[in-house]
Amino acid sequence: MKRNSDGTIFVAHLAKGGMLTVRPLRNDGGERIGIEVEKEGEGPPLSPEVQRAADTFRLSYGTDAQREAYDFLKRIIVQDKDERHVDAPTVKGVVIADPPEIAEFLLTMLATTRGADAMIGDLNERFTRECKEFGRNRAVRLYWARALRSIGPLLWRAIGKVVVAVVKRFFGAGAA
Amino acid sequence: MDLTTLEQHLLLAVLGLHPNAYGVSVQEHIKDRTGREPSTGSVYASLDRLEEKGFVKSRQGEATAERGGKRKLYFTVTAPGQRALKESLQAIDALSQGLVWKGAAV
Repeated sequence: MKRNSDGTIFVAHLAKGGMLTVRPLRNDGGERIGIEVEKEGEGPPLSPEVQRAADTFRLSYGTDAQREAYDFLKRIIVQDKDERHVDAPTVKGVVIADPPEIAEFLLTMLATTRGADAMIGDLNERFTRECKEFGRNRAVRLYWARALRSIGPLLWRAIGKVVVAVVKRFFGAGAA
Repeated sequence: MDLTTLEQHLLLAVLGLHPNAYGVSVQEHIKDRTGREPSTGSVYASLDRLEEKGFVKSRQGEATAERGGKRKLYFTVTAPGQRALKESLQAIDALSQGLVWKGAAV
């Protein structure tokens, strides 16, 4: 299961401020995982209905907590046509803006540097800002553009590291 | 030690932003001053290379909500990094001194 470095399994950015964090409550040998849904930061509070749904979900367990968390959030997400960012799903007036998963996955696969996590964080930071500024559709396009521009340099860096490692292995430590 | 143009820009940006130099601030600093924004991937790949050479040092920072719980990575230029940058810029200065800009269409 995909986990962030701080142990969270799902983070939904709230474009009006704050975020929804889903983290495991307990983990018995990877089989039974409960999740906790929590709203952090600024922005409108979660409605009683959403809070009730979160409390109920806390009691359920599953083998794929990430998928369940995503389904849970999908269930409580409603499209709010009155919002400025009508293309973004909202939870009772709170805009949820998730970065494109495929682009994020691509970069995670390619980034072999120590700063891989920080790099994704940087893209997320700009994505959240641009969601507020331009709306989700444009923010997604900009995210993709940045991700695609990053593939080349990251790939070259990864290849370079492999070449250096191979040269060191076959020609001794002093060769590279 | 030779530095590429991007490496020069990165070292200058990290020095200028000290102690708040991290990916986004570095990219925006370079864009503001040169008009061209390096890609996120090239910034991290180059900073990784510079760190390997001992020219920059990184430390983990805070994870904010807008970053999806991912920590920032702050960079500082080391003494060898400053020396390499100085030498590199001096080489450019030496090459451009006394240059007569002729032959260029205005």
